[in-house]
Amino acid sequence: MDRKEAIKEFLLDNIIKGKKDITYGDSLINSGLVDSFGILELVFFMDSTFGIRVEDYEIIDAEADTINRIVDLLNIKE
Amino acid sequence: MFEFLKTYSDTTAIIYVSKGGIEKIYSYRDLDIASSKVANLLIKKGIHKGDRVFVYIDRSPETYFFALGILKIGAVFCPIFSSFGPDAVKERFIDCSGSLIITEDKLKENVKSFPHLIIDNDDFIKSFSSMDSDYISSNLNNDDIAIIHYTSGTTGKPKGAVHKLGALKSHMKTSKDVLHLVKGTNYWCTADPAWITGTSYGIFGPLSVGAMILVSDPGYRVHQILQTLEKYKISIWYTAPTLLRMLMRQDKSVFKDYDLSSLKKIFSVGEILSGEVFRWGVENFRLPIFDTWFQTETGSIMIANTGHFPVKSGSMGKPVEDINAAILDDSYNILDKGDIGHLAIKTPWASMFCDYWGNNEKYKSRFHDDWYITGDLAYRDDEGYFYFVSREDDIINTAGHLLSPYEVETILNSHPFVLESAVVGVKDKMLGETVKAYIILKEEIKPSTKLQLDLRMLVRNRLSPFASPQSIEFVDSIPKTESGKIIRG
Repeated sequence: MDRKEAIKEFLLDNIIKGKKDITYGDSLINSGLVDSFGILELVFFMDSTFGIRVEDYEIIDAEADTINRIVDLLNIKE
Repeated sequence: MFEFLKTYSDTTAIIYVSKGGIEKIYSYRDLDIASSKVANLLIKKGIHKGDRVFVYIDRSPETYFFALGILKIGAVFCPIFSSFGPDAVKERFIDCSGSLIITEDKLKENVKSFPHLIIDNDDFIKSFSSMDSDYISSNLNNDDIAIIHYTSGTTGKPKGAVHKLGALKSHMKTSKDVLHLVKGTNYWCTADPAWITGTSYGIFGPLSVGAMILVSDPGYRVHQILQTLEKYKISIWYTAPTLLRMLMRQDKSVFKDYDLSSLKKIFSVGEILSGEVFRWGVENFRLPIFDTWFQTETGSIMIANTGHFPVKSGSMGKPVEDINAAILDDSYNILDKGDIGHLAIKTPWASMFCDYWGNNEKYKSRFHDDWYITGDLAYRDDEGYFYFVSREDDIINTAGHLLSPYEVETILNSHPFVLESAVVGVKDKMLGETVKAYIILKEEIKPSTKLQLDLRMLVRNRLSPFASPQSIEFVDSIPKTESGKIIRG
C-alpha cells in the first residue's frame, strides 16, 4: 500500500465521519472533514507508519489541505 | 422571555459561514419563525415541558433554531459536542433520561439506540417546512429548568449542571456590561455551543441584546481567522487562549495583510491568559485582551476585565456587578490579599446552577455556608484583581476542554491488551495541557506503535477527539496510595 492509500484508509477508518470515500485531491481541513485534533492523530499515524515526523502546524502552515499535498510534505521531510 | 426576537425582527441575527465557505444570513424574524417551527415540530413528536432534548450537531443555524425552539416549549436544551463518540453520548443521555437527540446523518450510528431526529434529510425538511410558523410560549417562568450542560467530574461520571430559564437575564446583562454588546454589534464567539460559553455568549446573551452573531468555525487556520475578522468587520471577538497561541506562532507581518480596524475588543475565556499572550495581543492587535472567568456551574461571567478599569497582565479581572468573590482558606475563612486559596462566589446569583442532574449530594458538596466553592485556586491583589493559579482536582484542561482522567482510563482499560492505565495532564505550549496515558499491558503483550495508535483511536472514536492521549507510555507499575487511588501528581 502506498502512502496516499494508507493515509486515505486511516482517515476514512478513524477521522472522517459520514463519508465512504474521498479522493487524494479533496480538501480535508478547509472543508472541515479533518479538525485540529484529527490532524494530531494523522501526525502520529504518519510518524509511526512511515517514520517521518511532520508536525501539525507544518501541515496547517503549508496549507497541505489534501492527501496529495500532505504526501508532498512527507516527501520533502524525508 | 423571547421578546428580542420581535424587538429586533428586521436586524441581522446570524451570519453563518459553512466550512465550505457558503454564507447564509438570518434576521431575528427568521430565527423567530424557524424556532417556532421547531417548537411545533417537537410538540408533534411528543416532547413536553421539562423533557431533555439533546442537540448533537455541528455548529450551524439549526443549533440556534433548536436552542430557541426547545426553550419556547419549556423543554430543556442539552447541547453536546458533535465530535463526541457513542460512549460519551450514551452516558450523558442516559444520565438525565433524555427524550430526544437532534442529530445529523453522519452521526446516526452513535445514537441508534436512542430516540433521535436526523435533520439533514428530505423527510425532516418536508416536515419542518409544513409546521406552523407561529408559536406563542405560555406557562414559562424563571424557575423552569432550561439548560443542562455536562461537565467532566473527577470521578469520571460527567455531571449535568442544571440551569434555570432565569439565567438568560444574566447572560443578557453580562453581554451588555462585560462584552459591550448592543443591537447591531458585529460579534464573533468562537466557542462551540456545547461549551457554556458557546451557549451563554454564543447564543442567548448576544441574541437578547440584538447583536449580529457570526457563526463560523475556521479551526486554527490563521489566514481564515484573520480574513473572517476583516470580512465581517468583527468589533467584539470572544475567543480562547489556544487559538490566540496558534496565532502567536505566525510571523508578525501576516497581520499587516488584513484590515482589522473594526476590531474594538478581544475577550478570552477557558484557560489562563498568560502575560506573554496578553503582551502579544497589545503588540499585534493594538488592543488589550480582556480575560474573563466563569464555569459551567456559574452560568455566566463572574470575574472579568471589562474595559472600565486598567487591565493587569495575568489577571482575570475583578468580580462583575452583583457578584461577590473571595479567596478562602481550608476552613472557609476569607484570606488576605496575596494569599492563595479556594476561589469562592457568594450565593445566590442569577445564573447559578440549581443542581447536578440526579446528583444532589454532589451539588450540595460544592457549597459551604453561603459560598460556592469553585474548585479553582486563586489569589487577589490589593486592588481587587483576581489571579487564577490552578485547579484543585485532577481535571485536565486541553484547549479549553475539561476532561476527567477516569473517563479516559475507562475507555483505555476496555482494550483487550490493557491491564491498567493512568491518565494525567501534561503541560503543552499550544493546548495548555495534553492527555498522557501510562499503560500496563497484559502478560505477553508487547508494546508497539501500532498498539499506541489503536489506543489513541479507541479513545478518539468512543469518547472524543480531544480526549485522545497525545502521549502513551508503557510501564510496569502505576504509583498508588495505600487505598489504591492513582497518584497523578
